[in-house]
Amino acid sequence: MTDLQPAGELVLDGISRTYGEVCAIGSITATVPAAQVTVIVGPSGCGKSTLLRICSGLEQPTEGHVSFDGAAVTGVPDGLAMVFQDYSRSLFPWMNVEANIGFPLRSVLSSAQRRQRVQESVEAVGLADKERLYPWQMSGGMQQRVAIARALASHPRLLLMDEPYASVDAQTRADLEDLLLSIQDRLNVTVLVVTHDIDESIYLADRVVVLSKAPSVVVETIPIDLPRPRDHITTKADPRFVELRTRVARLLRPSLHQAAPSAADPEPTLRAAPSPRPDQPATTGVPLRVNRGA
Amino acid sequence: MLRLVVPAVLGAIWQWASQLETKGLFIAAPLDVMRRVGADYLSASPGSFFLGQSTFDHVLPSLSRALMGFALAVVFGVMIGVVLGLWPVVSALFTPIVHLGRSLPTPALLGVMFFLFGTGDLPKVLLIAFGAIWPVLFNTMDGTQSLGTERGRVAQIFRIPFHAVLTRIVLPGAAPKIFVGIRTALSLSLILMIISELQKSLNGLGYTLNATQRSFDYEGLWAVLAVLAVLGVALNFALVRIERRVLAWHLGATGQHD
Repeated sequence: MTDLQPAGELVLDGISRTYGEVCAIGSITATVPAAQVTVIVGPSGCGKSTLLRICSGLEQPTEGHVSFDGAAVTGVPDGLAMVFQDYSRSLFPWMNVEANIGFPLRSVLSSAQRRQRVQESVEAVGLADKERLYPWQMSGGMQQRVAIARALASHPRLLLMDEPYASVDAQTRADLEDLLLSIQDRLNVTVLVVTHDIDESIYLADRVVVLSKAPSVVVETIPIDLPRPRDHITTKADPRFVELRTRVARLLRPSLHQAAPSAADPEPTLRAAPSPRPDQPATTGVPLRVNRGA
Repeated sequence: MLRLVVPAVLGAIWQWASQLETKGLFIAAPLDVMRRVGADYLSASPGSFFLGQSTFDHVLPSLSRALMGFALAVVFGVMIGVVLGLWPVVSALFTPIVHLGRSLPTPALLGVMFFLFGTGDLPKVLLIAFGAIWPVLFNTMDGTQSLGTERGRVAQIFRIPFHAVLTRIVLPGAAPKIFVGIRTALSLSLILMIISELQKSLNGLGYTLNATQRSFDYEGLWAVLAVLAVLGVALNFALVRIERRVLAWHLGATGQHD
């Protein structure tokens, strides 16, 4: 794709969100580095979607602030695009694929430029020749591809994805995960994904941010040093992958962790992992809130 | 074939009733009625589009009043409905008034309309509009509210300008419900068209209904009823055709293709 702007860095600084008496987000401080994939993983109901809405500027935090490229996020920032969880509600059924993807560009680009962008985007997600179809004529996976193409068409510097693959079947999910990685490789965009799926978080991420139950805090930030390009068979069989998955799973279920502390040490053979990517520190200390739970 | 059975039976009953000794005086025979419709409302002249004098004197004036009132009801019903549907504050302020207006039996306002707007076409058109606006308004409001917050978020994230949100998200999204209201509004428009012409009228089908009854012209009366039936069916057919076009996506998405 052409005229790409440099990816941007998103910083969450002491974010909390309270609805009336209910505290959804305790305190979250995290960095989403430029041109990387950061995945926030947490149990259901831990306020992941709320957090993403705060990142996008749709909602304001009760405390703390978000900045994108050094500028405070008070509304939806320029260069941000989002893929929503439920494609059936985020795509417009009265518009065909081309219109859905081109719609956000109507006020920005001429119709010729728009057509070219749409073309480019449908090719990027593997939907060339499907421009005339309506969303309801497509499978769920194809519809989510349209939603991804719509997000890409604006040439975003920051791409937010809210449980993007929660409503598609396993095979499609694997394909869409690979699609995201290949797009991110080519476009050098900053990506922030929230999910509750541990395998998905590790497979996609350059770093995983593990959240606790509500009121959520960051339990740990884990750099993922698995080599890229990844694929579903070899990456997931990599002992390092298994080790990371175990680690995240334990963090998400602290009660199990406490019940069997000896299991916290992985088998020695599992440590025979490829060396971490040099550009990433081995561990990232992100402040933990001590008083978890109410 | 099967769908012709009931009309045929009804036609036979009509024919039989028209031969009754007492009631038959008031019930014109079907064939006589058809002949009368042909004589009054149709003609052999291509210059007048094969339409008869009564069509020009009565049907077209009635139809134009009904369609004007209907159009006003649709335009204002959709506009007000969208505003009430989009802004909860406005809807909280005006909902009581709207329910009051809806609860009034519209024909009762005929006199008021005459006082305010004279005896020409205007009071009749406004009466039709006033009566037909409610289903459009309420269905538009309902359709707008049922769009959900997710679509609003999509619009915000992609920085869709307000006019585009209105014309390309709200209106199409609410269109399936709006059309439900429009269909009801169409039949209400025809009812109110007749009612508005029963008084202080010099032409129109409502006027003809009255006039034929007063002059014991029962064939003429039944001919008006036949014309009204044809008119209702034709208008509804046209509306269904428009709806199929506009809501093709909706029929497809909800699997109602046939």
